[in-house]
Amino acid sequence: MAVIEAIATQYLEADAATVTFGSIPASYEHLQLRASLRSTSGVYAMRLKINLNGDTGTNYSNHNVRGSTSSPTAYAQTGAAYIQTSDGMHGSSLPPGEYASFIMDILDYANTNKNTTCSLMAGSALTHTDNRVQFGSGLWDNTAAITTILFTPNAGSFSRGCEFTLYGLNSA
Amino acid sequence: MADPSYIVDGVLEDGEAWVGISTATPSSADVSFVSTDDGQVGDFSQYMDLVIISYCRSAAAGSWKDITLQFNNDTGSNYSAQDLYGNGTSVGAQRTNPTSTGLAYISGSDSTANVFSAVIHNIFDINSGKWKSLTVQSAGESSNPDTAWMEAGIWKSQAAITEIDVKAGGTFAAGSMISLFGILPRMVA
Repeated sequence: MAVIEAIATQYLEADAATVTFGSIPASYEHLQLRASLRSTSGVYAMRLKINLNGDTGTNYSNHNVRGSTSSPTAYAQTGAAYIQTSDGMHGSSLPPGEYASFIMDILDYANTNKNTTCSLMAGSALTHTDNRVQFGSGLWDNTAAITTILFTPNAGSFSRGCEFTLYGLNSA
Repeated sequence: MADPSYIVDGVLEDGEAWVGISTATPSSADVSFVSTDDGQVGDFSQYMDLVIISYCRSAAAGSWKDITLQFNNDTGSNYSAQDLYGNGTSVGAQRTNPTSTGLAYISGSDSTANVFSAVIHNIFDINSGKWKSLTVQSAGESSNPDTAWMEAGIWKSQAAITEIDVKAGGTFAAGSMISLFGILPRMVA
């Protein structure tokens, strides 16, 4: 088996309200999701929401540190219904070619003795004053192996041209 | 012409999604990675993303120097970026609209001997008609500043990326190492 394999790629040929990776095999040690994002909503900045295994209960927490122009800020939420970025993507008010960058790492995702912690990095709206770069953490307070990841923009739909690829990592 | 490793007997096979393209060990000049345009490992047109992993130091005077990227020899003011950094007990942020992107800071020749800086650039969807976006993370212990750094950047061009110039803000010191990786999408149903 390869050390890093592409499990699935979704390149949107039409706008989509959500993007889901399902039936994720447990045969890897870690997961990485890389994406290029934009929403159809007419705003400059918005959150990206992430749910695991279809759980929409208040079982998530996350922390973010964010830079915007000359302001560094930090943000946290607990007892939330999803993991989210602090803005981290943008809508259709930006120039049409501009998409946000996003990487999420989920470590030891198939281990049923550990809750799931992930790290997030994102950059968005870089040609506007709602520009953001951020690093964040996310927790799903559940020990189940991850089999499904759901991505939802906070408003609108994912725009045509958004791209998501899920990678599986093994040490050998 | 030989097939790339993921085509076996004319059939597309599953395989490594991260492909090592090239490693440079510069001792002076800036580094250029140019697509080979030949269907082989060095041909950028097959990749979804590119990743550059650098462990480097500048030979130029100063405790620190910048490291940046330019794409396709574009030296115009066609880049935008947002930075976030921590230095000692201070945290800061800045927005820039420079003539390059992927800014991070690396040790200069006045910093402690043998101290190199770690920099990772992720460049997204490099063959699309989108503007090209990237993220940067770097770690430097160069006496002043000792900086943990991240940036999100964009090159405001729809062109596919065919050349990346890694610039050291001076010249790279001997022992620097800069590796380029191509990241494939899922190609097998």
